[in-house]
Amino acid sequence: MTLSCIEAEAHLVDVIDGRLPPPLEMRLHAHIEGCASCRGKAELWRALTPALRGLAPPPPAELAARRLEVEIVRHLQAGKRGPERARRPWLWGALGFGLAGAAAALVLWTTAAQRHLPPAGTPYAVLGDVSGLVTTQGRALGRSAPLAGGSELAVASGGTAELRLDRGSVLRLTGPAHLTLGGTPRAVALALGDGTLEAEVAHRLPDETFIVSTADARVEVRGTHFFVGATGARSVVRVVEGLVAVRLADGSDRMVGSGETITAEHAPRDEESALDPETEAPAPESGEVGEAGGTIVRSCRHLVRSCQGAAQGVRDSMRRGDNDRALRLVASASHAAHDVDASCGRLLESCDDELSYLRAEALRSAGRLDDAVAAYKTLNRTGAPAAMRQNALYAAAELERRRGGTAAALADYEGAVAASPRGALHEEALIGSMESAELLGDHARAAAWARRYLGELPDGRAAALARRLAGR
Amino acid sequence: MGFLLMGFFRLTSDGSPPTEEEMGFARESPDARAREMTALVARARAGELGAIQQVFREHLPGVHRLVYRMVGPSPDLDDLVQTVFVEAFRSLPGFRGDALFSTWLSRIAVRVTMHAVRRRPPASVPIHGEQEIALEHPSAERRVAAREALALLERLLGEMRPKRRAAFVLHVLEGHPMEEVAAILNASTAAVKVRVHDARRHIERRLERDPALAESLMAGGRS
Repeated sequence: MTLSCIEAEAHLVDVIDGRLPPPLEMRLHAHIEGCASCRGKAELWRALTPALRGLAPPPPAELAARRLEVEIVRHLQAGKRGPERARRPWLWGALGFGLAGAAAALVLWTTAAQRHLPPAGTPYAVLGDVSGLVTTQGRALGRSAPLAGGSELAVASGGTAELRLDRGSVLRLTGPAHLTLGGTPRAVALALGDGTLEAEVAHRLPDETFIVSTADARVEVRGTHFFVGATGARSVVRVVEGLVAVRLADGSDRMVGSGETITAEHAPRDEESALDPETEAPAPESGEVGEAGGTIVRSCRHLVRSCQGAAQGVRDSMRRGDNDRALRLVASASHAAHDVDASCGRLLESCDDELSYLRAEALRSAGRLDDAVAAYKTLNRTGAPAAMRQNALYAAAELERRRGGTAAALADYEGAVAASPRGALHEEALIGSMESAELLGDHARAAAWARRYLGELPDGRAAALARRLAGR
Repeated sequence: MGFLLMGFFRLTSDGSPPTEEEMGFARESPDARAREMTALVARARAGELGAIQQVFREHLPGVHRLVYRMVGPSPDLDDLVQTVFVEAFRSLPGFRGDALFSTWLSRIAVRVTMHAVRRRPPASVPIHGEQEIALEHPSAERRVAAREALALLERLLGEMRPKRRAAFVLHVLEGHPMEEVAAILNASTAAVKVRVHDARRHIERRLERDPALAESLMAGGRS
């Protein structure tokens, strides 16, 4: 049986590359032998294929490859987190990027509740301290009473109930309140009908979830300490530890750090929910700023934590390729930081620098190159860490150069050299300076940079180029 | 006639067409080199910086060429190549070794470039300078011919829809089997065959209208 014309054509490359099994090759040739149309096309593509394959650009030149390598390694290092992160020489201070690894992720949707119906009968929690009347299905409960999954717990007005969950999390319910224990110990799904729930959530593994639903909100958390208050009119979330990202109904994200409180919707003060953050939550620690302004309560320490958590969230978003979310998180975190007392300290400033750098990287990844260049350049401010300035200027220069802005690139390469003469990108910045000057036709300047390069790095990888430019 | 046809398609190194090695098309095979690359990739997966750099150097020419063929001489070319490697190294823990590393890398390269093309159709830049085509000591005439032919090929590819272009580039220019192209493009083999067929028809029609075009392409490719 011979092949059809389409099948024969589909095997042309295979036979050219010599990977067609002999029986199939026989059938192919049999078809071509008897098909004038295919014979003509076969002749054409037999000649054309190798010719087209030969039309390829050369691989990047050595210096361009080196630049790419530097950039790729820089991105990979920026993507690491936590203890496995390699400390880069250009990083600023001992702040480190991994400090926010324990930050919580909490998402609040002010849309319709998505209650999780529980599997009945699953062992779930044990009652701890109890005050007042606590019942399930009309039956009064006391300390140490086991609670199965699916239990509906009611706490009378003025009463409290502590629940200890299997995975180490602790819930405190303040009456009047109604809570349904849904899900499983690995996938906790609580439905808060009304009342106030305080949750200390033990760290969750990647495949574990912890969700609290109210009538108009859904809160998902990985490990933190927070309060949720529900009245049916609105929801209030106060975070005691960790950092949360709150997604509002309009799709905007808000970063809520420890010590901060956010309401899902605006309501007059006299209509606030059963949860009053100022009275129900622990008081601010001694010495903290702790000013209650609007719906957000901040302190310096909390802002630093919040910023560090935001930076982690930005990196995570960028790693997933979600640059838009990364930029939203940066904007939220920066907005929150603007209101803080200037005396908050260098830690916050350093974290803000990191956020600014991440913003530039996210803009670059999002293809907003003009904005990225501008963002990189804002980091070249007086008093900023030298390594950070060098890194930012070098990144800006690389973008400008690729976009044909050689003069601007030269200025930034030169700035990168001056920023940190012992920096990790010093050699790259030197090379960029002499190459850009040469591209601009400023041979004297190129020669000067080349001489400096040879003086500092006589055996550097661009030594041959430098010798040529220096006229040696 | 049958005997003649048996040798009809085979390329030999005595003619003008370059060999795969000469063109940088060397493919991995289950030999010592492949085992060496497997070990290197494993070290890179473990986060060893030296191995990451070596993997990058080994695969840079292939990735650069593939991205170039997908988007042309775009000012974003270097950024796309960079993105491909960053994504690849970040995704390396998920590389199970079911496919050749180069195939897996090609899949990422295609995904990155297709995504970029969808977001922003590549703005080609004129070919210029001393690096526009890979040739060993060519004469001035051959350099000109090769440069013109590369521009012609780029124009032909630029006239194709992205999916059609990707299938043609991967199968005809890069030499991947149809099944491999289907895996890279996350499409069925039948769909890939149709795309390659359509791409061939497009080029054939252009050559029919302008016979000199074929001569230019072949002359450039032989340079």
